[in-house]
Amino acid sequence: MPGTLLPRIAAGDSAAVQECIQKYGGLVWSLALKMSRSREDAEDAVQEIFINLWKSASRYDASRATETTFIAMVARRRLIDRRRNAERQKEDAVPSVDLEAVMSFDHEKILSSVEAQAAARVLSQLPNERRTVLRLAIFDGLSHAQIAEATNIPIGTVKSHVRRGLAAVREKLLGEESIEEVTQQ
Amino acid sequence: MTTERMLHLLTEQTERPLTGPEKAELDRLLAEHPNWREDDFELAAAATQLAFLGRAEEQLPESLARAIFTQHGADRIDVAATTAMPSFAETPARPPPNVVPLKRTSPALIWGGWIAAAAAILIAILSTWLRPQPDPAAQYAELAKQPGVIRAEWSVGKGEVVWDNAAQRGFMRFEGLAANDPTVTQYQLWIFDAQREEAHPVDGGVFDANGGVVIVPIDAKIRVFEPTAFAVTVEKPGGVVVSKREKVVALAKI
Repeated sequence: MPGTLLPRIAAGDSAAVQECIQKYGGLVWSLALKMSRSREDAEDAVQEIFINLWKSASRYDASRATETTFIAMVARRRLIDRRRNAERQKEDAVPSVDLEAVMSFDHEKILSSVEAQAAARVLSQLPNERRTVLRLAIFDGLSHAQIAEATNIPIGTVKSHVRRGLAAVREKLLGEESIEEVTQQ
Repeated sequence: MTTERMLHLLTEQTERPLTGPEKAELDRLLAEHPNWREDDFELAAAATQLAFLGRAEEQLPESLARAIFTQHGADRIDVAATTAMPSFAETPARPPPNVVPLKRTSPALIWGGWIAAAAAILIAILSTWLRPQPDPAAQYAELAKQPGVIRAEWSVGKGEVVWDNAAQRGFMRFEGLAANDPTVTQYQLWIFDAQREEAHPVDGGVFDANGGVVIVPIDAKIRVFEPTAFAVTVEKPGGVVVSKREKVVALAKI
């Protein structure tokens, strides 16, 4: 696919490495800052993410996702691993959550990939509680137990919200069942 | 029921790494649902995260960008061919064989251009060699005595590897590993991790040997969760991101 860098990186193209850092560095940095405890932690995370990205480059399948979304997925995996490892070493206090801020969602803002646009359309049509739980889980990186404690939503309901929300996004991306069929379950 | 269980595991995977048995169970369930892929929910989660993020406003700091670039190894050029750097004449002799592996980070410099990258490499090498180095042999001996450390003898090659997984540090000891010309090839350690794909072991750093006894600190680039084996390959100077494993000179299984 023209314009993609990961296949060139997998083939050993050094220029593509530099282009990739320049093109996606801001995105990876933004995600790392969001899901890390400190700036220093985010700096370590970003380096680990790019190492994982170089190793994953050959697995990128342009027919499944854009490069932006694939890179965001690689970044998420690393950030979640780091977060869980840090939590194993230290009991985290449940972060305080501003539910009003979390519930607001601007689906008109500029988005970085077609998948993000599709996800935004799904999110804008979800019930408030489900969208809130998804944001806390996926964007703020809280565990399901932390979300349950912060919102007083039973943990089973939290997991159900995440599952149904992601299923709705997946179906939108794949063009399968309608959103109404999934969210009415 | 199996669909619910599959969806449960796919959901859990977006929150935490699955355990070995959970992964095996998910593989079996996915085999029964050919229109589902293992990373379907992870891709959906990534798209969702991007939707919430909007346009990424943060700029990656230049020093961090350069460190990432240097760490990849794409900046390792033929420095002898670069004539614009007067400090080449002052480059010290190669360090002794039990050299500390290349540092992960380099001092901040202005980003842009191969000349700037070459200057960064030289400064990183000089700062590493001029800084007083702890004695790896003493550190290895001390670590080997600690309870709970992993010790494994090379089944191919002579010597052993000592690894403290809690502290994420360790050492390799070799006897009679053939001397290498670091301008032609270097040795590179790989750490196989049960929680990572076998095709992508953790890079443990590059090092040189002198044909005698060498003790080398392990420089794992990322966290090792559950080591299962250590292997040493011969690679180009500076190492590689992914080894073709054409020349394996040492192997230690745990």
